Amino acid sequence: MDDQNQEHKSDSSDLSDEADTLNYVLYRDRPEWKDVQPIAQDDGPAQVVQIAYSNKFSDVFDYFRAVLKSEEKSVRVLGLVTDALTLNPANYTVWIYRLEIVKHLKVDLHNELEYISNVIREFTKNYQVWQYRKTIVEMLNDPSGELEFTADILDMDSKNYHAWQYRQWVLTTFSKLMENELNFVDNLISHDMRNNSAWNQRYFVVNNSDPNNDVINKEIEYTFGKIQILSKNESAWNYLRGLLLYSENGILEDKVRDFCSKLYNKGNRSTHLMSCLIDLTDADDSTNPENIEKIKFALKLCSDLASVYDPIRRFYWEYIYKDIELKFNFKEHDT
Amino acid sequence: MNKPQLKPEQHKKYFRRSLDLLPGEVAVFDYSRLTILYFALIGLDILDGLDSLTDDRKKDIVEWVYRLQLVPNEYCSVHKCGFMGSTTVIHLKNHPGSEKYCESNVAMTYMALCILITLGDNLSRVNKSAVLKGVASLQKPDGSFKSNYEHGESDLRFVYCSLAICNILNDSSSINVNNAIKFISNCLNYDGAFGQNPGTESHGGSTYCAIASLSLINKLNHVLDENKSKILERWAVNRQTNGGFQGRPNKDPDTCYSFWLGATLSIMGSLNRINKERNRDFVLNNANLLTGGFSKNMDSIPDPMHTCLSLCGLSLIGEENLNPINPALNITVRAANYLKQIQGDYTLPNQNIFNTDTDC
Repeated sequence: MDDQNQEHKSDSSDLSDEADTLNYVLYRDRPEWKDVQPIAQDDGPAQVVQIAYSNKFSDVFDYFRAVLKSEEKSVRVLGLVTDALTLNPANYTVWIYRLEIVKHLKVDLHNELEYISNVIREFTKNYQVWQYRKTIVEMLNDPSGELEFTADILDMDSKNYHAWQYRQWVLTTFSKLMENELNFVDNLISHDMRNNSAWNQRYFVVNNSDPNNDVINKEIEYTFGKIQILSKNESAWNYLRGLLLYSENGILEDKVRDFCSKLYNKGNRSTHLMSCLIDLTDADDSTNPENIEKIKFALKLCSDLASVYDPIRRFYWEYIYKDIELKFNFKEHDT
Repeated sequence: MNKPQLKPEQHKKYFRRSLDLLPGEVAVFDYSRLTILYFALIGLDILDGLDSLTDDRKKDIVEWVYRLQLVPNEYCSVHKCGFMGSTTVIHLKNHPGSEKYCESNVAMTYMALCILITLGDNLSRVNKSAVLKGVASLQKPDGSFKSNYEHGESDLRFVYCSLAICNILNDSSSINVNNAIKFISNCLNYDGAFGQNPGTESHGGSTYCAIASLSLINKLNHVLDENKSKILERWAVNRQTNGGFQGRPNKDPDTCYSFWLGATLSIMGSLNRINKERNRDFVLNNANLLTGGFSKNMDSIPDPMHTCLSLCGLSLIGEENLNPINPALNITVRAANYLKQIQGDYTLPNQNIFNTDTDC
């Protein structure tokens, strides 16, 4: 008998989740909760989109309903709320109540920040957990660990929208933190040039710095460099177009024209390069007769994209083709 | 290779099962069960399958939804009014002092109204002025809307839901429409599409929320001139990769974006620029032939949201045997026509109203 028990214990110690489940006592079986009358969910007479809740889920939320009604804000309720949030971190009312308890018990907010860090690590793409973190950091008025924390989360998934959105909030709310952000972004782009979130963050940083011409020109050169390495990367091309919103000539900027022509003449047929070359013609409204060659070139690019280089967008490129014809009142027989 | 075929009966069964009972694993949706109800009913309507529910069942569902309505009384102030997403804390509905914990959510109110319209309810029991005041109380100084009053987050999703509610109830006088437009404009990014908040990355879902919102208030051209429309159109068309649509550049495709981007392009009148056949194949290849329903990709299991939005995406590109949808409200055209009909009954003359026409 003893041996069997021994064996059983060592088995379950390898499966700590299972052990937790085995040792877990429902609230209705806990003597220290005997004074609370649980409240079952009142779903009304009809059964609509019912969920087959586990015993544990129903038990925890039956007791949660009870304390919410009695407004008990105690240490034991903090434990109950922690269980409820593990079962459903998307229930924002539980988060609201947790905050009430934290304030009432004067819980050390640094401990609370550590708690929410652990929850976020488990539920990285839940809205409510990030919202709660924001509230705690606002109350602490101390963002010192926030860039490192979000960097950790982005290390798990460098495109996590929640983490980026939260990071932008930190950077704009506590403005001094922006200094090193370009380095952070640089690292991410070097690691994965296709990380569109990182390119967006780059624009966010540059845009917030009220950039002068020098900054924009430096960024254009940086982007040229990345495009030369990976010319099929839409993120870099979009970023380039974004930078040109700062320039008076927009896409007609000489260096963009030169860069694109050179790349094309070298035989590069990235769809984004070709798209950019088409736009160069499209943006040029001058009716100079020598434009005919340019228009013919743009039309050829549209045809090539539709038939060879970007056939999935065939209908799109056929439409752009017709659009250019129409805009320049151009028909093949004119030539 | 044989072309994949839509199996409507399987998906109807999937939705009918979802309407009855869901497995314990979806307990994370406990606080937003109304969203599952919304996806199942809109999906059934697209499949022309509402008739498979008995009148009693429809009545039960309507009653269940109305129970989630919070109306102003001594325990509930008007700024908390609207619909809750589930019955989780419904026991507090008339309990003194629990206002903080028993409040509406604007996404749930939007979905509740869509469900009621879809089931042929005339909204006569919706406390319209309270709902509109509840929506108004969620608007922030920057023009955006929060999801709910207490600590709710704000972004384009809730701007869309708020404007859709005002559109359905035919009254925008309680909110600041100009500020909402300003907020939407501020979410427009350097790449021509929209992020959830100013500065955040462009995303198919938030781009839909922006475009659908602007279309509902007839301000599409106000924010997007010809050039901006062209850039957004290119961004949206570029999201088609490998057949299906991705939500952001350099991400994997997912069936729900066939709706978010398909509807965006449809509202802009540009849906013909995509490759419908490849899009169709991608979506249909993610149908589960065993259980019914659609998943987001090959590595996932079906869920009501992806099933509904897959069908919405297929309907937009003219899949046979599917009812057409109104892409700005995301209900069927049949339901949207019914809405227009009942709006005449509850809209007073000379009220400040939106035009409900969309561009498609």
